Amino acid sequence: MGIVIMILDTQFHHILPMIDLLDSNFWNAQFQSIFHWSMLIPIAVGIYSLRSHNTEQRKLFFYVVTSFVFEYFSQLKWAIRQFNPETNAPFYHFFTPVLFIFFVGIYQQFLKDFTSFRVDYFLAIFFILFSLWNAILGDGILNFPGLSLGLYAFLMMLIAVSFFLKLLTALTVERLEKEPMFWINSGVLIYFSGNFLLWLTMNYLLKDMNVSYSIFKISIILGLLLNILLSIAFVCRPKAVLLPPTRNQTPHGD
Amino acid sequence: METNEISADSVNILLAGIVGMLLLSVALVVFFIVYQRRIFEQQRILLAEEQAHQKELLTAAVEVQETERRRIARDLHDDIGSLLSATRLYLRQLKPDSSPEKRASIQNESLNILDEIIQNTRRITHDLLPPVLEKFGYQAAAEDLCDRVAKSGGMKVLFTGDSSQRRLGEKQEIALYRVLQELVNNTLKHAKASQFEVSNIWQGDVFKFSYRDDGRGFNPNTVKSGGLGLKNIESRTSLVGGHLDWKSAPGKGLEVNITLNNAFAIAD
Repeated sequence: MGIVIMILDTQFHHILPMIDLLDSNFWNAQFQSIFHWSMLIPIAVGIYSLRSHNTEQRKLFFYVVTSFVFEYFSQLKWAIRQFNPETNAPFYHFFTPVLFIFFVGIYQQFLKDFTSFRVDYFLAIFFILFSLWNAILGDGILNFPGLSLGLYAFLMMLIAVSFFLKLLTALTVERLEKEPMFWINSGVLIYFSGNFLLWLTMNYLLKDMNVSYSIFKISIILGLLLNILLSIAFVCRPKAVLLPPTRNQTPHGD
Repeated sequence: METNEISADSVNILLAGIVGMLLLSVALVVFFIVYQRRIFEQQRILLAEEQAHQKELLTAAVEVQETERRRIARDLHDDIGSLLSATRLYLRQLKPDSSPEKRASIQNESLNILDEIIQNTRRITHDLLPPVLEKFGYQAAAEDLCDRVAKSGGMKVLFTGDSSQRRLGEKQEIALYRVLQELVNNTLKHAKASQFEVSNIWQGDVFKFSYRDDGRGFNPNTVKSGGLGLKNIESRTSLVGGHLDWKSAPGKGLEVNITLNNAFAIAD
């Protein structure tokens, strides 16, 4: 007998298995479109705060715009019809390494500080090669890139946990709520932790469309949460760090 | 299209895994926030303690400076001032109609007093900044100080100097000499010791100073932070980038060790 996850359904006052909850009428047909519309929130907030972006926020803005474009492109019927059988999986084979590189860019400063070795370049090249292998020899170009996305999630979780550890040891940020990277990192950790197993098993789950659609709603909820956290990251104003004057300089110049 | 190829058990296991990882990640974020705040709180406490300690050191330094000023003023007033007044009194007795014998006597007395004034002035300036310290450095000045104490006969003094002619930075030499003066002064005044030992050794770029007396010692817990003298020593040592370590116990005398890195001397 397998493990059954139970969630208390307050409306009916009895316990439902989680899969039933995901199947229930609460999640109507518009649910996925809510997620797609929610992708506009960080873009709108990003545009609103465009002038005050720091380096990470600017990179994050490019990420949210790119992921929005990719997501909508992959849903276009015209794009799906380009393949036989009709599928948008090939786009995900391409989008995944691109989005990973964006995230590596966002964490670039942290990765540089982490080690003298250019781990950012290494990660990007390694992931591109892995995605190529997966598209050709792994999952296959016409199948969902479960292995690439699984590795993507695993690496992002690793980076996010390392980032938190670094913050704890370096103690450079006192007001976490004012730090954009804290919100980005929290969103990344939660989003990719929730999606890791889901993406890895997606090709298996796709054998049953109903089950896969139900479970995929978890990914949509996590996506919504990520969009909210990334939006918060755009409105944060990190505290300016005042560096001590150098020996040759005075407040009035040299 | 339902193929029923996926068993309910495997779906449940997958969901359990997903929920488990989600809970773990949320817990990690919460743990990070709580732990980070706790660390910052501890840092704030440590910083406040450090600031209080620095304030104590500064107060000690100011108090010592004031004491030193009072001592100099007392020396000038009691020694030089009174001797000058005496000279003035003698010279006032000189009249155009004074006998040659009286003139000669006044001249002799005045010259004697002036000699004493010169000697006292030399002593005061020597106490303030010994010429040997400026000319030959800390080790020579320390040896001179120990020699003078030993010759006074009140105490046995063991001095070990470094054979090399290497010198510390100017600020370090003055600071270390003041520390030695303070320690010797404390031993003579309060310790009731029969001997003290001074050792100076270079170990690579590190200069090691060691002072030990066999006096009555004190309980570090009852004497607040080692008293004003030790605070002054700590203040002087930290100002020149040195590290101070001392220990004392009732009946066990006092032991003070200071290490100075010569890298600091270059920056002098």
